[in-house]
Amino acid sequence: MDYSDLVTAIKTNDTKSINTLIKAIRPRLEGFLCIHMNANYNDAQDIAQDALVTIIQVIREDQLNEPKRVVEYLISICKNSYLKEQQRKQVTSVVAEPHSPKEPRQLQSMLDKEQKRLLAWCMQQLKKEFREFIQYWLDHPDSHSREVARRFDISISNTWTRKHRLIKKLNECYQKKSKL
Amino acid sequence: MERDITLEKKIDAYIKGHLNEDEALQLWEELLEHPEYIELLNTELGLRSILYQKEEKVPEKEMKSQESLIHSLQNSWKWVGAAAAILILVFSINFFQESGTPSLQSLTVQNINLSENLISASVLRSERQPQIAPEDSLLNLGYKAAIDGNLAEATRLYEAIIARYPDKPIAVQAYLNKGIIQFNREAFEEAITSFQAVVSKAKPESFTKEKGYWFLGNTYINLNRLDAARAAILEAYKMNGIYHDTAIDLLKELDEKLGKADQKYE
Repeated sequence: MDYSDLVTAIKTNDTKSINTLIKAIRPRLEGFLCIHMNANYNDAQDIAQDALVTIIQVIREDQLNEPKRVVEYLISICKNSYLKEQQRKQVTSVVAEPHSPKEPRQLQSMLDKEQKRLLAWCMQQLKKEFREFIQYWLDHPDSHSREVARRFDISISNTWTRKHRLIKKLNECYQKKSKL
Repeated sequence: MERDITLEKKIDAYIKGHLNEDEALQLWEELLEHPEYIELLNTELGLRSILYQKEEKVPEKEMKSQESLIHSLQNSWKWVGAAAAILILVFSINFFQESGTPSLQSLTVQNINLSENLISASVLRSERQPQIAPEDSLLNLGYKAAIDGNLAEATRLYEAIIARYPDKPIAVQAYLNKGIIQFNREAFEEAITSFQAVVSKAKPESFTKEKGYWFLGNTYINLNRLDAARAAILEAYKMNGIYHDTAIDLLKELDEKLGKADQKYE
């Protein structure tokens, strides 16, 4: 998706295109807020919506100097809005501290308990060798892909391919099982 | 989906905590242009959290009171000592439960954990469905009411969904949630009606159907209708899903009670 299309659509007042693009962008911003900023889903929805309203206004008023930087600008709005909201809430002193890079364990997934249970089930459905592979990858976050390749006797390139395919397969399994 | 190996490596570094904040934000700029990778990232994070949970996990069955007590204790550092003591107690209880022959009573669900089993609208939304639908809102309101202890209101909301959207998949979810609340109220006959609606309306391979059979079987056991219970649990077992292994234990116990001890399950 080319985000400069959004700029064009807004400037030409192409409502249909604007709506289509906004629909596509909103869940991506929610993903950023939930996963990277650790926002809860309700806050993420509100902040993403506000960010989109803001960007439309900014583009309409011709205040965006570099249209190619729409994505960067959207992320910046989301991040700042979330931090401001947290400061406003002042739930604890911890959330008021400056945002810092997260360690792996702090990164949040958007999946809830039941969804994780489904994912665990999907993991169990993998063939033993693939389950061992993905488990090893996840259990050894500091392992270089070279070590993984050596352990499973495959090339480094195949290591990345296998990992990608397995995560994709697990995602597909989870999506299928989570639907009615 | 076209692969981008460089992006995959950056995602890996991000998950491993090797990116600083600026690099992470740059990665997210790329992810916003490749949303299919956001879904894969989320799946990988889900897998990691499952593994971390396993490392720290207490053996669990449907022990709502113990779980919620431990959960609330773990959330407060002041109570770490107390939590440890409770954990030891829980481990002891489970050890002893598993060291003897399990009874039908101990294998049967006595109380269904609401927060784990009630269905709410999915958090991970596809781009085709970016806005929450009215029926999803009702489902979420029902979930909130139930978790807040307002079970009558939750039931009313689930009934509203069933009445308004009888042919939509969400009605099946509402039936399941309603059945769970009825089960916990020990209104087992009513729960059976709800769970039967779930298994008859849910899609063949769905998790909801499996759950429906599992809870239906457990409801029958609570009414001592063991033949019907066995039939329902057998269906859950055949679906080869998350209740498969637990169903084997229950089926063996039911078979023994029903004089069908020669049945084999794997």
